[in-house]
Amino acid sequence: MKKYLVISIVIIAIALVAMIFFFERNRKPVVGILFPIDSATAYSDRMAGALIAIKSLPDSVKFVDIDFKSSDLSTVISKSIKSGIRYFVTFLTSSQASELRNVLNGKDVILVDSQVTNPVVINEIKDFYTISPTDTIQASAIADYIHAKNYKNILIIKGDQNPIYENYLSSRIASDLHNYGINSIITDANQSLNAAADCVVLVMSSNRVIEIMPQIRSRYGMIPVIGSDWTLDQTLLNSQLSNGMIVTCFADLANLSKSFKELLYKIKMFPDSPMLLAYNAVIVTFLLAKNGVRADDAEKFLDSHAFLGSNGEFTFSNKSASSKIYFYRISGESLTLLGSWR
Amino acid sequence: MTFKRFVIFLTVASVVFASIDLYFQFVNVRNELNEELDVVSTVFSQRIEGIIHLISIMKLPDNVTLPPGIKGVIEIDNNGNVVRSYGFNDYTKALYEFSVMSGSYISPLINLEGSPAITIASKTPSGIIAVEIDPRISIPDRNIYIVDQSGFGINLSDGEWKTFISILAKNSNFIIEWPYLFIKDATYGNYTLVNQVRISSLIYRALIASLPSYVLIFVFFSLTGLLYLYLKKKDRPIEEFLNFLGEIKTFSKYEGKEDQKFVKNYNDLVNEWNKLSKGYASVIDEIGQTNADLIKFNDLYAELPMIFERIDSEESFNDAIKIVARRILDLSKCVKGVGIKYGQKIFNIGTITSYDLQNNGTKFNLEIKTHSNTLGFVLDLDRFTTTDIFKELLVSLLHHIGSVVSMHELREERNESAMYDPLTELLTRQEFSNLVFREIEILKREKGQSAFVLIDIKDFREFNERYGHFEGDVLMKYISKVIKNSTRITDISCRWGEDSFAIYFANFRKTDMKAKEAEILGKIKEFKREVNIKIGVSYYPQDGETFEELMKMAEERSESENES
Repeated sequence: MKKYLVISIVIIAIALVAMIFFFERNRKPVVGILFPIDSATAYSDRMAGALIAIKSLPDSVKFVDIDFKSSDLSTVISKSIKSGIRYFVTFLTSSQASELRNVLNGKDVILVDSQVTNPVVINEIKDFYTISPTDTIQASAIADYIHAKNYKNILIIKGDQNPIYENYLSSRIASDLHNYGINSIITDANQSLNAAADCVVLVMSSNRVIEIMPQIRSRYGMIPVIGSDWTLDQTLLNSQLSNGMIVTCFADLANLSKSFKELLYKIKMFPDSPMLLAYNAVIVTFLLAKNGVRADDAEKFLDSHAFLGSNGEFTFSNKSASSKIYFYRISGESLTLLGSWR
Repeated sequence: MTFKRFVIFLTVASVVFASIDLYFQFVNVRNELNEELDVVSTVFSQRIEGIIHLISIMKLPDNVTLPPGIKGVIEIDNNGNVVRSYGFNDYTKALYEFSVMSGSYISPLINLEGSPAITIASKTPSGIIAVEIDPRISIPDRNIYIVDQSGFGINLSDGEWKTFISILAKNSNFIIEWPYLFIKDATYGNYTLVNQVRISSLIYRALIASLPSYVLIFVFFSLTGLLYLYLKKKDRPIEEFLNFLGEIKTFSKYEGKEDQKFVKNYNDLVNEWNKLSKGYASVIDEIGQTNADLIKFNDLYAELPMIFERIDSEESFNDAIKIVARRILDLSKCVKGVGIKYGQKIFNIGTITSYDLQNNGTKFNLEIKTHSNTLGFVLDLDRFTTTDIFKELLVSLLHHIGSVVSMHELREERNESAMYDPLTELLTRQEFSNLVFREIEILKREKGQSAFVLIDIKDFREFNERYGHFEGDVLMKYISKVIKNSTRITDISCRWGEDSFAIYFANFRKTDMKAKEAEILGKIKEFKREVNIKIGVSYYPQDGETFEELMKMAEERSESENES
């Protein structure tokens, strides 16, 4: 009887060791996808992009949903890091990303965001990468566009919801315009519009655009209004107020693959820039996780690879994706491509 | 099959059966949850379809009172322009486009200030009518989420928001993300119902569901065990006897349980056999010991005559007794001490002391009457090692020693009888000759002188005839008494012939002889009867230097006196 007991224990022990060895060896790298649950439906396009990307990828990386509220972002990320997650896909604002400085630095984790554009924020967080072109690039593109159109007095109106983004981008645009010898004035969205201008640049969210557009039309009539990337979403397309407005975009919405379009049609959604960037962010993070890239090697890995995203191939440079800036005109409920800038 | 193996078999079979049952119960519970999900899906679908059907045929009046569950309603003409809107917040391009293209449209989840809403639009003959509804259905105690096509979900019961991107990305309808099991089911309008269940509660439910099976297994286990025990009990004696026989290697006690009668009988038999073997061995030992004792006894029997044969003095007799005591002590280890008392003489050796010989203690003692004395033995025998046989042999030996001593006494006595004449108690002629012969030799060396006297009864035959032989014997005894009384201790006298006596007077002068002669004759004459005596005397060295010469001279002078 004793002999049988000893044999059983030995077999169980061997089986346990084999199982641990097997599971340890086959344990998949984990990627956490962070979504702000309190902003829920505003992120449905990004979530759809992420979902389409995950469905298109092989099963060699495990994706987990990580919900957070705007107030507990740092806590949630810290907990996730403690639970062993080393790769994250995020959809943060620049201000939110800035809060993570103390959480991420010094940790062997890689965070790939789809919409942070502020280069200061990107650089101050060691292993933070973004799929969007930086505000510096966007500012240059907008300044070039204004210079090309020969506008002389530019009113730059910035919102108050994402100060880091709004302040930096507006000041960069003003700086670049100044380099072209073009006058510009920066004003807050809640201030009265007194300055003379032949072109208005909006650096704010789409909601703020809808709020301020009546004032602009009232004060300046049908002068050209150029919105930054953050202004473009479905809200603008559904509003007559934004008709004729020019917006920058980080994706070519017209040249999507047929299969991608069919997928969106099935779920009754239209493509937008955040959706496509979310798709790209998931693709990049998947490759980082699959290759087991450590935080110290991430920049080198990203700089040395080309990635096939929703809009074709893209590369990385200085911790951000090097993609084109597209200018669209809102025509009723549709967008008309005016040109691209790189 | 042994009982142990049977129990192991039953246990393994039960565990396997229970595991399989648990798995099937787990699948059943999972399927039940899936069916629940189907029911919810049906309810949800019917609700949406009902709304679509309703709005597809309705014409929106000018004033609308929104019913419960309807958050807003909007009417759009065929060009996409809003005709009427009541509390409707989320008119999108997609609503219009997809309603035109597909005839109906269901939006992703909308967060209306924390409350979930979905937009349902349907094409009507006059345009498009859309309503915003709260998708939640009251399902208590269930953690079911309705998830839109982008992966956002809302709990149907408590309204909690949650993302399900990774769950929707999986092809399987059952996804384990520890500690939860997610069961998903596609439902109307690109929505998915996801039931989030704790795996532990699932296992608990499966276990509860398996309870009847476990009871059944237990009953089956018990009944089978009882049946097995019953059958085993029937066959047990034979089987156990066969096992028992198989285990026996030698005729020795069975060390297992004595729960069977045959085992007890067998062990009793072995015990009896062991007792007999021990008894037999003991007897053999005893016989061997007895044989060894007998050899020693025989040796002593053979030695005893030799020991006593050579005795020629009292000292050598004492030595013989000491040797006998020593030899008795050496007979066996059980003899610790030996004491022999012969007359007033005491011999002791070993643990026996003089006190033991003088007092009758608890030690073994034996007193034997010899021919002319008493021989007492006291022996200190070890009571544990002394056997009855040894004791008997010892008693026999001691009696034999008594016999040997008696023989010695007889021999001594016989030797003394040969030296003296039985009637007169004087020395015999032969003994007288030997002694006097030695005396003459001594005289020759010392140059002494001595006298020989021969006394003869004249006509002794006639005396006997006249007075009888008895009277003749009395005369002889009387004369011998006279001789003894008339001689010194150093003188030697004997009955010389049938009616004659001889006397040797050592260092006796011739001048004194006449008086002595007269004294002797005078005393003889005092006998009650008339007696005629002849006396002849010879002197050394005057009459001869040898015994024969001196005796011849004494005879001649006796004869001559008679003639005279």
